[in-house]
Amino acid sequence: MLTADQLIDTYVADVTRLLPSRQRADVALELRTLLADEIADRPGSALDVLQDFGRPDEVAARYGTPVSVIEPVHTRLFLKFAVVGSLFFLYAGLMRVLSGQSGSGTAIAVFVYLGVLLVIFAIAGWQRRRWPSTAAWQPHPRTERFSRTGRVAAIVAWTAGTVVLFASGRIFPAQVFTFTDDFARLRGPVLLSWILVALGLQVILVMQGGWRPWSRTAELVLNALMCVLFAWVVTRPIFTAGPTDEAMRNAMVLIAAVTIVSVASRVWHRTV
Amino acid sequence: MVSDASDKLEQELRRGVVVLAVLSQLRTLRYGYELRQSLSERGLSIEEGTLYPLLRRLESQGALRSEWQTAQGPPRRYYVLSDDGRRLYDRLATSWQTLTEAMGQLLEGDRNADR
Repeated sequence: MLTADQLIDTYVADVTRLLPSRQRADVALELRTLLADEIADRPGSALDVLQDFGRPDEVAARYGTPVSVIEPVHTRLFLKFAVVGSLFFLYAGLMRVLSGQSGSGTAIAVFVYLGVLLVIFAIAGWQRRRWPSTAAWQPHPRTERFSRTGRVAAIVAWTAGTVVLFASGRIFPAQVFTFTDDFARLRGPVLLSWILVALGLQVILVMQGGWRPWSRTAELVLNALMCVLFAWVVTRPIFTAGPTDEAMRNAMVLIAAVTIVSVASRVWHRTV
Repeated sequence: MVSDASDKLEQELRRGVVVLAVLSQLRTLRYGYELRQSLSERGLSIEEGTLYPLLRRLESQGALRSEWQTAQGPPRRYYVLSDDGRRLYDRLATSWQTLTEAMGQLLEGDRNADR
């Protein structure tokens, strides 16, 4: 059982060890006297008085101006980047494992990403405190949310990709683009069906010239479906030739990883 | 939930007046515990874990100056308004008067509307 003096000494030590060294001795001397006065004047145990005084870390923080590594105004954005970015790396890692490659670097990639993100936000917070005027709002033109040109480019790119994937065996005589029987039997047709539906949606979007509530939902669902579909497709070989197969499956891993970031971002904006 | 919110709002309201209340009592030298007692007797209880660090912060900002005294018992740190602190106190007191007058009119208007 500690005496009142011992309790005070312990409490003061817990507070002052969190203070800058130049402040410690002075604050300790003052705090010890003040706590002794409080305990002498109040009924009840010394422990009650000290617990009412507050947690040592909170009391220590009140002695100075606490500095946030991440500014409160940036916290939501930081969480968003942290969650979405981590999902990207975890999904890419999962896809690599599913396609028979090593996923051992995934955890390191996530921690490095979070570390870099923390440093970036810490610098942004410091800049905001050091030069507050840089954070002032500036008028700017609203960004265009729907680009018809961009959508047409996407249709062209996806059509070209589909042709390369499904017709290259006929275009190029070499055996490097020959599908495995397993892919041609089930995964290929399912993948082609998804691509055709997705292309159809893009064509409708271009014709309508903008988003509708249903088309936003449809694209979100199709993209989420794509992540699942690609994860399934890359689990087994697509082409009989090893290098072609590896290149294609790596490309699909990358596309799916980027898409899952987009899906997570849109879900976040819908729910937050 | 509503109770939690109202507690926080009341805390914020009180936090706004703590600095002015402390400055008002430090035209003469006082040490922390004595100051807390003085404020409490006048109806403004401030938690000790809030008041004592606040005195230090006000001193580091130049609003207070302090000195150690050992004449009456253990060494105690006494605080008093500095010249800057006196000017700060006058400014805050004027703001407070303006604010209370405006709030008085607002609340009075609200009471009249209820009748």
